[in-house]
Amino acid sequence: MKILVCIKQVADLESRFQVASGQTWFNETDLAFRLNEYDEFAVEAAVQLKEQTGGDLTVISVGPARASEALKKALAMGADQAVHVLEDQQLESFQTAQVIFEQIKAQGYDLIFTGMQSSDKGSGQVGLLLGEMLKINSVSCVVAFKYDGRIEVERELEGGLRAKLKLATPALVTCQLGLNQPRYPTLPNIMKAKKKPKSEVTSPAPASRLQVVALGPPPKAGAAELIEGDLLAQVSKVVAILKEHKLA
Amino acid sequence: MEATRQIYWNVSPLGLPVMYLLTALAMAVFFYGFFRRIKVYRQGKPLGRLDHLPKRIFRAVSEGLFQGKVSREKGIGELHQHFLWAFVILFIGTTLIFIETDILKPLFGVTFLKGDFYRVFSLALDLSGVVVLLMLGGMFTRRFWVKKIKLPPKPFDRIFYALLFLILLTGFGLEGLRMAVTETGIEPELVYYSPVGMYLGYYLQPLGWETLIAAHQGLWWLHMVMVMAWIALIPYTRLKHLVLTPINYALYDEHPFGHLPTINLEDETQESFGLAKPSDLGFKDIFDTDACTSCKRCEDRCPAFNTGKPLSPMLLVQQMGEVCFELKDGSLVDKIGKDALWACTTCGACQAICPAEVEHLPKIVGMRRNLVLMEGEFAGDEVAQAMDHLEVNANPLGSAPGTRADWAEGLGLVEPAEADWLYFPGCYASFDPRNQKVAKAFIKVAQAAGLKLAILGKAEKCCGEPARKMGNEYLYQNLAQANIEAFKSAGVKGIVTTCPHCFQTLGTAYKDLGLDIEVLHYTELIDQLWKDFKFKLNRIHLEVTYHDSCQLGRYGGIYDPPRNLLEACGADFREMKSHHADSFCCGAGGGRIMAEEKVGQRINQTRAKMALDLGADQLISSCPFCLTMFEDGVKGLEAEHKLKPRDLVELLADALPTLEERL
Repeated sequence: MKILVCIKQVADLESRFQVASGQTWFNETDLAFRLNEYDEFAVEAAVQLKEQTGGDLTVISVGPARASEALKKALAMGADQAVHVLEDQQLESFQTAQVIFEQIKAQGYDLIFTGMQSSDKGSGQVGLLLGEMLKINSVSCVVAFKYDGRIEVERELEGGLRAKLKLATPALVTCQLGLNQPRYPTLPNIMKAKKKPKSEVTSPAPASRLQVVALGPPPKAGAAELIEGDLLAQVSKVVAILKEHKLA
Repeated sequence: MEATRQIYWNVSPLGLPVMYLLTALAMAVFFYGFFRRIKVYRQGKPLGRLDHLPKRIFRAVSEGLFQGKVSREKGIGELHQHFLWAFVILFIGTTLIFIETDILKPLFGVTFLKGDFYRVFSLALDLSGVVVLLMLGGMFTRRFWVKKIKLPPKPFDRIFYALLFLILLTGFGLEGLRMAVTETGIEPELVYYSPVGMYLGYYLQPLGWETLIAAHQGLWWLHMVMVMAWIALIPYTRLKHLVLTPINYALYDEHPFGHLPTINLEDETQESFGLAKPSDLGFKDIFDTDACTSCKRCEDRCPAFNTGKPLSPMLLVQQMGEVCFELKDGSLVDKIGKDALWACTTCGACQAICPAEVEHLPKIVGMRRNLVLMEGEFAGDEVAQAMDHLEVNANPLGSAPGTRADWAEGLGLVEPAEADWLYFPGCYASFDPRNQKVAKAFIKVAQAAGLKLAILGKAEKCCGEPARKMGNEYLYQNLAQANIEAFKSAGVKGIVTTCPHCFQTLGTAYKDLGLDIEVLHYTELIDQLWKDFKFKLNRIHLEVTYHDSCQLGRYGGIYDPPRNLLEACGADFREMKSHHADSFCCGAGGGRIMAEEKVGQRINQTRAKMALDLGADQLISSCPFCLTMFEDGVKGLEAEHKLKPRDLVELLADALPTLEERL
C-alpha cells in the first residue's frame, strides 16, 4: 500500500505574534515552530496503517527551509521518506493543494492523510481540495479510522454526533483531534530518520485566487486583571476598581 | 613465669585435626557462596571501577573500619559501629593466635603472645567480647522486639543471631572453665587481664577439676563447630555484607554525587538505550543489588515512600537483584512497575544515606531512559506535554521563547562580554511571575555588591535537567548543546544561577559534554561577597527555617553559605526535622515538577508541614522548584497567613539598606 501524509510546520500558539503594519503575515523572528497538531494525528494514523498493512509511507510538506524539522519528526515517527517542496511565500489553500497535486499526481497513492486544518490559518481546505484534484474519495474531520480493504471512519458532527462511513480506496482523510495518541519518537527511530531519503524540490505555485487584505488582532473585548498582594492590598484594589467604574 | 596461656589447652588429640578439617570445609562453603555470585554480576557490562586502586582500597578500609556512613544513622548506626570495632578486635586476636600457633611457632619456633603483649591481648579480647555481646543485644532487641522497625526478613536471620550469641557465650564459658583450672588462685596477677574469665573462673572453680576439664572439652567442640557454621553461613545470609560492603566502598563512583552517565548519541552501533534487563546494567549495578543489606535507611528517608507512593528505593534495588539472580535476563521494569519508577524525585536521600554504597539514582534514571527513549513512554500526559514544550519552546512551561528576557528589561544588565558573571536565570525565573521576583531580587543584591551581570536572553534554553531526570537524555543533550554553543559564542567565563538544578546541570553534567566553565549558585557567590564586605545588610526580625534543596545540598554539598547569609541578616533561624543531607525533598525533583502528583499525600505539603510545626514565619529556600512547590503546599494546607515561602535572596534584597540609609 502506498500512503502519503501531508504536513505543515506552524508557529507554536504560545508565541508572541507581531504583525508589522501593512503586512499580511506575522513576523517570524523569535517564534517557535512545530509540526501542526492535527498533522501529528495524520502521521500517527498513517504510521499505524503502514504497520498494519505494510507498504510505503511518504511525508510531504510545502514550506520554507525551517519546515524540514517537521519532516524530520514525521520520519522519526515512522514515515519512510520525505519530500520538501521549498516555498518561502505564504500560499493560500488552493495554491498549496495545487503544488502538492503536481508533486504526487503520478504516484498513485492508495491513502492520503492530512490534518483537518492548520493551527495558524485554519482554513481546513488543502486536504479536500487535493482530494478533488486527484478525483478520489475524501472525508474530513475523522475521529476514528479502520482499514480492512476498505476504510471505515467516524466523523465528528455538531452536537456530539458521530457519523460512521465506509469508503473505497484510493481515498483522502483529514484528521481531527482525538483520532489517536501520536507516538513519541524513540531514540533509535530518531537516529534512523537521519538516514531516510529526503528530497528537496521546488515547484512554481499557481496564481493566488484570493487576496489577504489585512492581518491583525481582534479588537479587545475586555481583559482580566490578576489582583495580587496581601489581603488588605487586594481589598483596597478591588474597592478602587469598583469606584473607578462607579459600581460602588 | 612469663604471662601467657597455653593455646588450645585441654583440646583432645582429635580436636585440632577435626578443627582444621572443618575450617577447610567452612572456608570452601564460604568461598563457594561468593564465587557462585560472580556469574550473576558478570551479566552486566564490565566494571570499569578499578582505576585509582590505592584510593579505592583506602576508602574501603577507612569506611569499613571507621563506619563513617554507617554511623550517620543515630542509635543503630552507632551500635553497629561499636559492635564492629569490638568484633574487629576479636578477629585480630583470633588471627594473632593463628599466626603464632600455625605459622611462627611450628616454622620458626617464635612465640609472641606472652608478657605485656599477652596482657594487652587478653584484656582487649575479654573487653571486646563484652562490647560485642552488649551491642549484639542492642541490635537484637531493636531488630526483633521493637515493633515499628520492620526490616524485611532474610534467610537464617534468627539463626545467625543466635549462633553469634552462643559463640560469644561459649567463648566466655571456655575462658572461665580454663581459668578456673589454670589461672584463678594460681596466677593472682594475670587473672585481672581477663576480668570476665576471672569472675566466671571463681564462680566455676567449686565444680572440681575433673568436671571443669570435661565440661571445657565438651564446650570447646560446641564452640568450634558453631564458629565454623557461622563462617559458612556468611554468604547465604544478611552477613554477606561483611564481604560485599567493603568491596562496594572500593567500587565507589568518583564523579560528583548524583552523576548520571552521559549517553553517546553519536554512537550509531548502539541499538538499545537505558536499562531494561540485567545485561544493560553495569557490574556495579548488579553488585549493588547484592550489597544492599536491606537496612531500609533509604526507605525511611524517601519522600515518595513516605507519602504513600508505590516506590521504595530498597525494594527497587532488591527487585532488580531478584531479576539478576534469576539469570534469565528478564525485564526489570516489569518487576519494579512503572509507577514506582516515575514516582522518584531523584532527591538522592537514599543514595546519600546508603551505608552499603548503593547507587540508586543512575538505576532509576537508567530505567526511565529505557521507557522514554525506547518506548516513548512518560510519567503522564502532562509530562509528555511538558516535553513537547521543551522541544518546541525550550522551556517546560510552554511560554514563548521570544519573551524569555522580558522580565529583565530596565534592570541594568550588561552585555555578556562586559559582565563579571553571566546570570543563567533558567526557565522558572524567566517565565514564572513568582520566580521573576526572585531573579530581580538577586540582581538587586548582586548589583548592590558591585557586580555587573548579563544574561543570554532569548539565546538561553532550558538547562534540560527535568527532561534528563525523567529519562529523556536525547532532549536534554539537544538543549545542552545549544546552551553550550551559546556560552561559547558569547565568550562566557563564569556563570551564576539562582536555580540549583541549572547549577548542577551546567556545572557538573555539562562537563561530560565539553563545557568547562566555573558555575556558581548564587548562595556561594553572595556569601563570598558578604565575607569580602562588598555590601551591607540591615537586621531583619523574622523567625525562619531553611529548606536544603536536593540539588544544592546533597548534590552540590552547599549547606553553609545559605545559613551564613541568614545569620548575616540577623534572621532568627531554626532547623526543621530533616535538614542538611537528610533534607526532605519538596517533591519537584526528578522532573516531577512537570508531573501531577496523583497518588498518596502531597510531598510539598508534607514538607511545608514540617516548617509549620516549627512555628516559623517564613520557609526559606534557594530553588525555584522548591519555592513553587511550597507556595502551592502552603495554599493546600490553608496556611498562607502563618507561613510564607520565600527565596533567600528575596530576604537579602529586603535587608539591603536604602539609599538614605547608606548615606
